[in-house]
Amino acid sequence: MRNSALLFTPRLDWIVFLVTVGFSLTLLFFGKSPAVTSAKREIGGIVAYAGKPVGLVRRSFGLWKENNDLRARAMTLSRENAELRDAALENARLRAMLNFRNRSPLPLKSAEVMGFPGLSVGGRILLDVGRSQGVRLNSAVLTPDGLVGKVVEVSDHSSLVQTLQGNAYGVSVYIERSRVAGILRWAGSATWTIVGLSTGEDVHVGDLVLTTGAGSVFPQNVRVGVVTKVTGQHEANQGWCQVRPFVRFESLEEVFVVTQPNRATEAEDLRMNESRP
Amino acid sequence: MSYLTMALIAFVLLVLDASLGGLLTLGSVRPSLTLPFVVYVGLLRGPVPGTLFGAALGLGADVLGALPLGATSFAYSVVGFACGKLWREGAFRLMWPWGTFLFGGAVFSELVAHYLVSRGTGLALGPLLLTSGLPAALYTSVLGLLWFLSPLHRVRGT
Repeated sequence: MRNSALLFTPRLDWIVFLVTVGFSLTLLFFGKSPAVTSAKREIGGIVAYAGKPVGLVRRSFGLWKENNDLRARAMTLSRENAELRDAALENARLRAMLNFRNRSPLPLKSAEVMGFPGLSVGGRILLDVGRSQGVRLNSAVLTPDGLVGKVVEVSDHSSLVQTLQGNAYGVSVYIERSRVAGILRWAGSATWTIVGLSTGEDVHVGDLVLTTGAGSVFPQNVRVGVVTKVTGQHEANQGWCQVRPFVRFESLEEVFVVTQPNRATEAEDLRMNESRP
Repeated sequence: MSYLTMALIAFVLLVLDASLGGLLTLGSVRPSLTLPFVVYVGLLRGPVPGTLFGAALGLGADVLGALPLGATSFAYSVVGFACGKLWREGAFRLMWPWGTFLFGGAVFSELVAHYLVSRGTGLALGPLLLTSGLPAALYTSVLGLLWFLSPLHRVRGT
């Protein structure tokens, strides 16, 4: 008996290790069932609420800087406002003359950033709004500065957004000045590149990059970033045209979720309805 | 420190990591607040608690994080086990065990994470690891050293 205990004791650590690693690897390879995903979303929502007080502390750190930024911005905007008022009046007159339909604004839902889960390359943010507030899988997420990303997981009261940083998806974009279109992709670290452009296309440093609206996830003409580097040739992982997004993903506090259904969100709704018993 | 206290600390670290992690981000480099605790438990309590706390904390990080479920849990289990096992049974003694184990653990954890990101995005693993993985491992190690320097001093005598 004693001998068997001696034999077993030194191996306990290996048994625990192998069982734990086996469990982790099983989850990694087979943990994509709807039940596991649903449980993950719910737990994410609970922790989001647990972290709400921490989020308030975090936000208070940024208030002073935000106040200064807003003052500077208010000055610029008041000057622009006067110019735009004139332009709007002129535009209204012209639209009426041409019998254009008034474009309805995008329905937006404001959301607070509850946290930044994930490892160094995660690039994900947790929001305090979910399905019950009209958020759907693949809903686009924006700030006044520009495009943030899209919703990749959603529960009733919280949602997880994959930002452009660390994204595995591309965003269809175009250069505002020359109307040249391509796909914006994250190229690792703090670098984004537009792929699908032929070398020598009309792209210059400082050009504004906007969404095309193709693919239906992201609305058209949302500001994305500015071209920061144009090299003469393709570089490994970097393409030849590099872009810096306007949004600073690591310091987001409030965002807007586009609640207007698009083809991707409708497809997801349909899939969920079909999977319900 | 009782296991209940350790579990509470682990939960608080998990919430802090998810809520405040963004504030600590430098460029695209972000430290982990939970990994130093896994190393700490492994060194102080041995391979079994190290593995179990690593698995639990990693699972929590996976639930809240960007990686597939099981990825961080796997990496942290290995780190917790390796710290406990090598420190207690390894045929070597280090001057700075916490620093060495922490950096080694952080590199391994970032390697697993970046491998999965590389598979998901189609980017080459090498440059990705060099530009964000290794700096993140270094950042985690520096923060962890500042954090656990004095408690881990006691580990040397065990």
